[in-house]
Amino acid sequence: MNYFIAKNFLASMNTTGKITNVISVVGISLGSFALIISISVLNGFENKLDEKISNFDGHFRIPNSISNDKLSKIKSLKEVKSVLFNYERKGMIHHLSNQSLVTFKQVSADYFESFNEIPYVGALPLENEIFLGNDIASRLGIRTGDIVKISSPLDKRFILGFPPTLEVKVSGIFSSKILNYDNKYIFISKNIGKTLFSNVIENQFIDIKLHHSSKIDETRKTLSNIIGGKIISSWRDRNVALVGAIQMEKIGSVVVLSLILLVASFSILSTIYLITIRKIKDLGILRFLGMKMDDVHYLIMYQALIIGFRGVCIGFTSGISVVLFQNIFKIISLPNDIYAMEVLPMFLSPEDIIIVLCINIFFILSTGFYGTRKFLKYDPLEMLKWVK
Amino acid sequence: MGKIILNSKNLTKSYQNGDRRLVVLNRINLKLEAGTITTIIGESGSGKSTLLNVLSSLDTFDSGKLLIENEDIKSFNEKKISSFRNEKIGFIFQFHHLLPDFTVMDNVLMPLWIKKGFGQYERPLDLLSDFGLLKIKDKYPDEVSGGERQRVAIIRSIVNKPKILFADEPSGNLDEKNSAKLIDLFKRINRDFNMTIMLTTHNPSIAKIGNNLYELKSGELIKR
Repeated sequence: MNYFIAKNFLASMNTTGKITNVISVVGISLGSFALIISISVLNGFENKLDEKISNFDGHFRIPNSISNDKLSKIKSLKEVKSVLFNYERKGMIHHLSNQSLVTFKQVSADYFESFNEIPYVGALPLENEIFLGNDIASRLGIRTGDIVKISSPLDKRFILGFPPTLEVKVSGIFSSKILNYDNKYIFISKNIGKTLFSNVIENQFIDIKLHHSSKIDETRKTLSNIIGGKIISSWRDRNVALVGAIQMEKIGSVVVLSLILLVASFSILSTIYLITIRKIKDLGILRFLGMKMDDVHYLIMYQALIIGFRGVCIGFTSGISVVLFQNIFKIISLPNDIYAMEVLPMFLSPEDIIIVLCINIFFILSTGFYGTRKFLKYDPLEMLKWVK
Repeated sequence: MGKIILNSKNLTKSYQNGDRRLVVLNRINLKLEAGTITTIIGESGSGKSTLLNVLSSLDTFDSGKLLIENEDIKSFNEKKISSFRNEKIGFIFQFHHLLPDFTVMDNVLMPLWIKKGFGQYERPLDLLSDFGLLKIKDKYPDEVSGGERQRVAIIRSIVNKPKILFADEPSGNLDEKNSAKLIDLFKRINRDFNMTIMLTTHNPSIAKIGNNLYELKSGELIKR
């Protein structure tokens, strides 16, 4: 009944009421749309980053000091795609008169399947070749096929001796655009590593890649059970500041864009005031017919909900449609030289939709609740005698 | 003497007017017998409307006691008094006070919706048919005549089978022909539904239809 009455009241609005109603609906639509698009874009970038870093570093990193038996168990898990041994060590690269501090990443040959999705020029490295990041190559003027010198000062055999140095060929240059990887890493084979690193190899670790990032939480538990107390870290654990910044950016966007909804709810409030003042005599009639004050309260709330619902429907439909269109037809592209992806990534989870819906409901209900307060103090006769 | 349906004891109502207190109803004692018609006359501004508003629970009073069907109105909270008004009291104003955004049918259904919830009910159709208003059931109030609007308002006031029907100057806005129709209608409601009716009027012919006639003068109710 309250819905029916509220709908009729809304339908009978005068021109001013209709204009404020349209402004309210547009405001709520715009706010919902902006929230959905912004969250989906931030999610999209986060997922892409997650995907790319996982390609590079794997989803999990565990210490290499586990038994073969446990390693076999890990490899046999259905969620696990590959298990890769690697080792990182600071070193130097020299080319012509230039030199730079880099991180050598000694990996097994199967590691390079990760590069299926990372653009590179040249070829994947053979046993005595290296594969380095684009920024290092640019800084030192290195091109594919060049011969460069690499050295590991940490592995100096004597205090006054020279660090082990090797001349190697650059097989390829990758451009991951992930964090500072292009400026940091040089991939080397086990053979090069054996020659270069003479000191005790410590901190060696195993990278574990999963088939799907969505299984990360449950796989972490399974891995934890297998390897016992040893530390399992994901790229998120190793980059807490970055993850925190991404989260802050997301929260910031949601808060800022919610202000559109706040403004729209003021518009709803003025629409409700306009309707209620115009219809206060009718509310008085309903009261003398026996309508309870709570029902009058709900009736006014319903009007806010109807306006809000229309806005939410338009905003959600258009927002979700844009996300779907972008994912299917890849309409919005990104400049290749800036981003490590060709199209704007967008991802919207059911949880995000619920969050945006809750924000909307909060604003709409608050508006409706506040809007009714003014009118609840009047008794039926006062309402009937109300002079417009 | 039949069953007393309304009993007011020393009912007093006053308004503050600056420093002065204006007593509109002064120790009103009134007993309404079930199934009777009571008419109240009085000059404009004598407090007839206030008396009806107070007796019908639309307005409050300062002191005294008001019992309707032996229930003390003053002890009711807002919810209880709303339900009470919906179920036990019917009220007709000088102006029809129909809801303009709803059809005649919706207007008549409204008290039932408030009482039982949204839906379709037989009684409004029966009443509209009985009073020859079925043909306008889907029209809006501004599409029907003044007399029809007032009759629709009467049907709306009795749709929940109230115990007492209050009517404040019901013919005040009608011409002679429609006033006559209205008198017939009240008599019929009283006869067919055995409904207790209390009305205020300026119209001497309407004043005569009652079993009891009172005059409100200087805040006091005098039996004529």
